[in-house]
Amino acid sequence: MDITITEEGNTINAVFDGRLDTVAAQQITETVEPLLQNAGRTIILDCEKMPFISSSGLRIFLKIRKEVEAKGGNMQLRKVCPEVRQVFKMTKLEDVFDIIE
Amino acid sequence: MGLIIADITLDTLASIVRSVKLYPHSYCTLVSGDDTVLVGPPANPKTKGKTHAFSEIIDGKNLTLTLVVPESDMYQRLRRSSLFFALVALTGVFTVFFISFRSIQHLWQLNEVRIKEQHIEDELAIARNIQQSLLPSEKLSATVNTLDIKGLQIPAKFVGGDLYDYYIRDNKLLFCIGDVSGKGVPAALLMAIAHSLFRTLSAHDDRPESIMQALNASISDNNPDIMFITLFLGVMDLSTSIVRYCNAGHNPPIIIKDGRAEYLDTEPSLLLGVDVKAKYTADELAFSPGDTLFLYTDGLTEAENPQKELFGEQRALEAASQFGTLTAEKQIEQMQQAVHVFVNQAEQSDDLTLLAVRYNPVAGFTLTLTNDINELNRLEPFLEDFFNKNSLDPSLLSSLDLALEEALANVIMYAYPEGEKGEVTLTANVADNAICMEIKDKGMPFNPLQQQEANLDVPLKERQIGGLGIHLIKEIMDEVTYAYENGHNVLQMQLYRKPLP
Repeated sequence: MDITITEEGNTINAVFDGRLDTVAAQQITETVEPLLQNAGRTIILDCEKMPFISSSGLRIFLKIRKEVEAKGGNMQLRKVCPEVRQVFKMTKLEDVFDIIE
Repeated sequence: MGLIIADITLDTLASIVRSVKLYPHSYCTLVSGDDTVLVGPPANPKTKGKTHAFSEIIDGKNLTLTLVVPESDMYQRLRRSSLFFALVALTGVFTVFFISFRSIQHLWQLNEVRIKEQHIEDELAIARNIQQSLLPSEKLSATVNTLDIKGLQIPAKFVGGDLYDYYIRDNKLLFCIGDVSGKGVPAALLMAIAHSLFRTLSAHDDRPESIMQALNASISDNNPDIMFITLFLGVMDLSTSIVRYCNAGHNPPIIIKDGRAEYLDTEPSLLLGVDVKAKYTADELAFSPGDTLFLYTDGLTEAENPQKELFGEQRALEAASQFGTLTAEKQIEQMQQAVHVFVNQAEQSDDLTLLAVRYNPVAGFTLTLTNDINELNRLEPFLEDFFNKNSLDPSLLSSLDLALEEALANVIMYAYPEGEKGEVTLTANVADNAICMEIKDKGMPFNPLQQQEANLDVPLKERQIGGLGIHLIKEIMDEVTYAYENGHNVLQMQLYRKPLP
């Protein structure tokens, strides 16, 4: 799993490339730190190249979202593939996340 | 230019009036304006009953002409025609009634026959259901990893005289395939008896020769119609994978080893039901992973095409040579397809029964991981390989991957105490209607199914982070069971194989 984070004005764009499985979720705890620190801004999680998410991956997304809520920013998920969307559905997180195309 | 005045005498007028006979018994009268009767009714008018009079004042002459007609005359013509129509109608009604009566009578008789036929048909359908319910449960192979077994039975009529059965007890697979002489209901009855005898006699005996001997004694003992059964009976020890078998006059099965198919070299013993004292002997066969014993009844080899040619043993062998590493289910499908193509629309004349007993090359479908989270990276390639080798629906891969990842991560992270080395084994297996996964570890007894599941129906803020994994497992898998057996946590999960679109 590679994560590329770029800044553009008030927006932070994070591209998730690869499977966000249990192993990956453990490896990226430090990589997502800047997202948590900038949670007062607009954070876009680009999921186009992420074909898989496990419960530990979901936990990372939920952690960012919690921080964003606390700091008054906002978070969007971009281009979520059907498999991952299905996982959101099973965990009733489909409406919790702001999913855009 | 002149004027002709015709003056006719009163007498002439009277005779004209009298001569007017519009109806047989009618007459006319003529009365002048001062009520003088110029022409009166005839002396003896032949009018009986009611009469009708029609009067007309003749303009300018002050004369009234009256026509008197008896009613009977007036309506006579009408009556005659209505009588005719009535007659025609009556004939028609009678004809219709006659025809209807005849056909109702026929329908009545036909209906009685139909009801009787329906009754027999219903009973046969019930008999068919009962017979089908004697067939072994499809779920068996899900419970034993080393075994891949599949049977198929297509009776030629509602019910048939073929039988096959298998079950496992004490780590042994007991199986049989047979053919009762004759077809239809009598054969089906004997088949049901033979089936229950097999189950009863093999409950406490796992030597095929003695089961066969007892079966033969029971069937021969009281067999007034001299019906007989050919039966192949085998017992496979699942720990040694050695098959001991006994053949009572049945078609030799095909053994498929390393993709090569050949007929099992067996000396058949006497058919069941002929000689009470017949002796039976057993032979042995060592099974290696991937080997298949393919059994059938003569409905396969004697299947006829429209040219009256038989499918034959050679064609059966050729079809079996193509099986390669196919699962038992696919082998049955392929053989059925081969015979279907050969028969080419001809009506099925005999019961067809196939049974494939395959020893699963389990090693290929087992994944052993140490309790290091990075080991989970080996899961996806393993599943991809398993899906490819079994030609499974790839759309199931992603969710199965997720469920297994969650279950394995759970074991790796929590089953063993911190710093202690441990292992977890995943065994993947394909059953007829499900993909079966078993996760086994020697860690602390822990039932993940009793773990607090995430409550997803409360607002996100109130949700507990955690419990999502077990929720996903339950959501994805169709069946999940946990047991603690011989020092192992055993989590069994099944994902149903939906039919491909």
